[in-house]
Amino acid sequence: MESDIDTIDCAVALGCSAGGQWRSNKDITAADVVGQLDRVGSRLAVVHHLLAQEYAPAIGNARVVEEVTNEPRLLPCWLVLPHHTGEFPAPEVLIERMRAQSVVMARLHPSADASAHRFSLADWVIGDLLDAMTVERIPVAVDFSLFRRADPPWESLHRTLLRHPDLDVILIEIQGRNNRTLYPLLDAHPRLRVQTAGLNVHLGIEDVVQRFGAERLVFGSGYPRRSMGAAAFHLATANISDADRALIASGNMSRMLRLTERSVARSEAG
Amino acid sequence: MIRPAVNLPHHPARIVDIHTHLGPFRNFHIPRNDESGVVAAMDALGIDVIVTSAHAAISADLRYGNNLVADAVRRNPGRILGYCVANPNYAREMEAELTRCLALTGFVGVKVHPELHGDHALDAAEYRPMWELAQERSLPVLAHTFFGGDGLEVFARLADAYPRAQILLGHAGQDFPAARVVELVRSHTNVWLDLSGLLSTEGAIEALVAEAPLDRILFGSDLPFMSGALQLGTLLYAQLTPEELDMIAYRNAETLLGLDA
Repeated sequence: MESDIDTIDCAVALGCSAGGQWRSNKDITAADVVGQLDRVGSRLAVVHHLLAQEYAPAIGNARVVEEVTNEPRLLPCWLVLPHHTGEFPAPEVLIERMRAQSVVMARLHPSADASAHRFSLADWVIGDLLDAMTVERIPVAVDFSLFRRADPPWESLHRTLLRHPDLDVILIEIQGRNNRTLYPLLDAHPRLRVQTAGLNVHLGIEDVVQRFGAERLVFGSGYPRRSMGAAAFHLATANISDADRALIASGNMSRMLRLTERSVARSEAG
Repeated sequence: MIRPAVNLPHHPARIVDIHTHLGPFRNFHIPRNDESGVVAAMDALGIDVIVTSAHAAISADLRYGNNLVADAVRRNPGRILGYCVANPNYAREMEAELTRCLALTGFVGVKVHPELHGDHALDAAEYRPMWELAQERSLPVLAHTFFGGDGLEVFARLADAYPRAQILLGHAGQDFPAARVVELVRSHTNVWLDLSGLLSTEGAIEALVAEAPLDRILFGSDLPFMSGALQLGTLLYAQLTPEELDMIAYRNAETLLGLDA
């Protein structure tokens, strides 16, 4: 990334993935992520724990808070579940805990795929939780765990976004074959955004910026599953204005996370 | 070539991309998929040379698609090189089409896509004229490998039967067991690995370089089928030595294509 662009990576994980062949399965620590951020020229990362993604959200969420405590460049993100089974507390309690632990973002992995957390986005399942996130202004990233040519449950996603128009939602790993349905969805929902490196489309950043504006993309690498450097190269080489690049690199995310407010609150408290 | 203004650990002197395409594809929207869009991506990413084939030739109209490539090659001498598609659904035309295209300046090899050609076996009779020509002229043959198709034992048999044909295993055979792919490349000096798709996974290139012969690993992006920036970016930021990166980014491809002469 060009050094004068302030960058926040919205999609990074700590921990050790069960992985698969061709992957290193290295245990990624907070120090590793900071080293990667330095290598590609990014300032901050929103991080969740692979233990939350690949094993148990509550356990992984506790782990991520613990591991980033002394690392101000890593902002914790929790993977969340609906509360009805008792695996997670009621939404208002969850929000309190997130606030207490300085958790800045939530992620949903709702797919029925065995690699994900298998719940419906229907309002009678997740509506209360999304209402609580909206009130607290916590952005929600949604990862459908798509395999290469798959597509997400569009109609379900559309209905969810209609019911929660003030919720900030980031689509993670939307991949390369979904523009024909993604574009009308972006048209219909102004607070829906797309993670840059998850959009594996030829000249895709340029196309989305031209059609919808730079406000609809947020920089995110998907590290360690994807290359952090590739995400930086992707944005740095996109043929867009510097102002648009700055919005995508950090402006949009900074606004969603209210980083300026948080920074002021922290300095007043200190 | 103007290099992108990014802080890279090492930027190779040249980039040669041995797996690209031209044109729209029925299954999904590809912005700016034509020649100008592909050249725009090359300029933005600092790619000096691509070798390309047309989606049209792979899917629906062999001659029309190969002509699209011929036009692009003619308009971009030295920057765009062509693969002639050998599509077994046009078995009666295949041989003449190969002869026609390969007589044109800038066509350097053959592309086959068994999955989109309807799963004709690569060692079936329909493909035989192509393999014989590849053997006679020592041609590169880039074969798609995603989602099943011919097993590695077929590629091994073809590499044995046509030892002068240079077989490029598309997407590095990433759907096969990694150890078997490495074994195939180690045991057959005319089998090469195209990295497109494999570069979607962090760490894969480092794992491959640790095991497979470095001089037969080739950079391919598959653009505009996917983002060339994400594929190339993964390579450029990989934890490789400058020498390893140079070989993958352009030296091996230049040797294969005779561009280093």
